[in-house]
Amino acid sequence: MFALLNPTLSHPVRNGRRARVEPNPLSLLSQEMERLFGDFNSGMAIGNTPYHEAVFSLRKSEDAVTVTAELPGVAADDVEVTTENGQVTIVAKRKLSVPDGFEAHRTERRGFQLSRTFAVPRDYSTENITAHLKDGLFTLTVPRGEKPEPKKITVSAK
Amino acid sequence: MSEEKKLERPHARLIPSADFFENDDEFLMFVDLPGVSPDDLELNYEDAVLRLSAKTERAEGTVVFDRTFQLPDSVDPEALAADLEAGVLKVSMKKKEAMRPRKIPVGTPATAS
Repeated sequence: MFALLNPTLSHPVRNGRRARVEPNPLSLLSQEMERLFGDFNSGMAIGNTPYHEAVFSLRKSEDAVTVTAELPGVAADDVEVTTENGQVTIVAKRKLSVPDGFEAHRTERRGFQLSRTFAVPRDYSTENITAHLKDGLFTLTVPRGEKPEPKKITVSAK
Repeated sequence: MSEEKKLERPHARLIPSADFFENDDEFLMFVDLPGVSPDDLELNYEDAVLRLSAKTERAEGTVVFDRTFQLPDSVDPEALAADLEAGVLKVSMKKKEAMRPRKIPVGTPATAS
């Protein structure tokens, strides 16, 4: 019934996503961040969607660590961000169903339920984390915290 | 923006995933376009072909969504409606009146009085 004009696109999203993911964004990040977030590829294989929504990316700048995730069709209520012990956990879910009274011809989009935890690097503060969801794109910002003042500890003699 | 900065930003071209549904009266299509606002999106219809293209800027670079759909002949091009919410495009495509299934009333031959 519906056909793609380009016959090479029989796995359309996979192709598209691949083209994007290959220049691994993590390679740009410090080794530390890679370790913290390094399992994201294997973790992505939720259901049948190794390539699709909820692609997370994480970047670190002088001012902040920023995590973005593609969460199209997800309501803000369906995303939960918690912090504990210097770790941030993001939980999000999307449930899809065939609209009432309709018959499905093609279902490429997938629901998901996912959870990601990453450790906030030193010098970044979990105190002032902000998170927002706009047009199905989730952004979490962990600002750099105040640098602790160097402190001198007096050595006492017994 | 410096040249160096530009090089860091890969230009991604994505083929968004889509769902298609049908009932007696219409087709429904949903397309995932995360990060795309209505201003970023262009939809063009010509000769039963729907072309979607969207360009959006993200922290990691420019992302382009591009996909072309061959629509069924039964779609009424005058009755295409689209809206974009939370990064999901919904296109509803009414069927041409003549193509919708309908019940044919069965009568009896007029009886001569």
